[in-house]
Amino acid sequence: MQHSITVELDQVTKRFGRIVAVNNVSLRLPDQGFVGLLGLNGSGKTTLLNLIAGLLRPTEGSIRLDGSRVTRQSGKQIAYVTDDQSLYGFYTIQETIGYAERVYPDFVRAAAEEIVTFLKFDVNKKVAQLSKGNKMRLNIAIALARRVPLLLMDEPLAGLDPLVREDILKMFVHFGCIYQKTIVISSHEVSEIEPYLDYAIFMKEGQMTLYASAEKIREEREQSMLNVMREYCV
Amino acid sequence: MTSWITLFYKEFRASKMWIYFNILLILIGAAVFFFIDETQIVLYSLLVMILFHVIYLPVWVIYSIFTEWKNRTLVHWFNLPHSGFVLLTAKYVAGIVMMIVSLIVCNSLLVLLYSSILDTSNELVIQASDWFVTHFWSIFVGTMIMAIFSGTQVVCAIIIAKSATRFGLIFVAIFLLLPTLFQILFHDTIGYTKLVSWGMTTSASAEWLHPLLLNQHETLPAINVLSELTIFSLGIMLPQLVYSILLIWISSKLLDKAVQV
Repeated sequence: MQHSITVELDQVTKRFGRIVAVNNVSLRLPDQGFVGLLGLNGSGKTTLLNLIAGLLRPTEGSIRLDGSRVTRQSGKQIAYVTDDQSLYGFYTIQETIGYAERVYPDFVRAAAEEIVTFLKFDVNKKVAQLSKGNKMRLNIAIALARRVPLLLMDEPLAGLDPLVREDILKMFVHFGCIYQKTIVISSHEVSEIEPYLDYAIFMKEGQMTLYASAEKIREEREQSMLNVMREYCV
Repeated sequence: MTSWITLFYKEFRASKMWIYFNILLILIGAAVFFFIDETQIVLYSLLVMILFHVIYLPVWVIYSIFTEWKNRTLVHWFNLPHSGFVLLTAKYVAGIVMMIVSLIVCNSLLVLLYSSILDTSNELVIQASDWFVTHFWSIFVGTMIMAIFSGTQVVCAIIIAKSATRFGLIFVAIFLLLPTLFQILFHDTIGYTKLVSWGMTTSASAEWLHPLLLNQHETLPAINVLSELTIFSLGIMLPQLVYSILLIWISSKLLDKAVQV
């Protein structure tokens, strides 16, 4: 069984010149569960995920994984899927699985093949020939087949049709819960991911405005996440 | 090791267009042979072979990283759970292998062209052939090391640019000017002259070219450029190799600790 991971952000700020993308965010991610990172476009969700993934360095504050500062090599414990990044188009799906097996020490080939079968992919098709939705599904399949304690997904549902979005969310539920991990999904499609969330982080203009369990939000406020988002993100 | 080999082979799949373009350039270079004056062939072929391959690796590094960015795989590559040393060396060694293959193909084609275009009873042909046989490995190794040296500078420059949060271009400019500054400062010193001339594999002056140019009229600037380019000595090649390894190590550390994507 894989170990859980402690991710702590301490007064993290990220500036790009004069633009403050993330402003003084402090939080500790849960050891497991689905975490929704919610907010409008430009609220700092992508920047926050890039910081946690080690792709960016904070201007101020610190981000720690199990007590150690996050660096690029935190990729050993983090799988990161973004909507604007792809796998190598010249590989077929089968070759991509083989490639992932050889470059990711934590990759479980059987899990990837199970997911690919579930998705009914033609494994001899090149990645470049896949539609946008199928590329995202394959990306997520590769990430879910890794036995890492933290999975970050930046807008995995962006630009996809409703049926594909539903399929992807089912993938999370079906394959993501089998092995204990923390899955952080950033999205502004609040209503769609709400049923799956264990925790929600709301962002507005780079600041974290609310961080609570989904159950607590529903019990205390007796309203949908979308309405809560209107209150905390607009 | 498996990961390194996988990433190494991946570069060849990713560089398909580059390989086709490389072949095309070699063929175009070969085709030009049929149109230039016979007296210019040897000088032209040496210039093309050396200059083309010295800039090969720097251009390939830029092409490779640009391709990763264009195909939206840069974040994936950067996020791979391996040290910067593994990522960079797998990519760079693949480029070196492609460069060596190109150099070998170029040389082989030159041999074929010499025998088919030039008259084999020609004094020049005999001298050129003898010269290539005698100096082949020093030119080959010297060109390869020069290419590695220039390529690692480009790798390090790109890494420095992506590591600096401010004044990135200034740091890159300073870094790229370092070898030139070093040469300017120490060029006239005894130590530098001794180092450069230690283990000479080709002559430091243009005199060694003269047997190739018997009864020819070559332009002086071209001869000067060629003689500058082909000063190959252990005193030059070894420091270049050591500096290249150092730059790869520095780049790896920066990739792990400082680069932001």
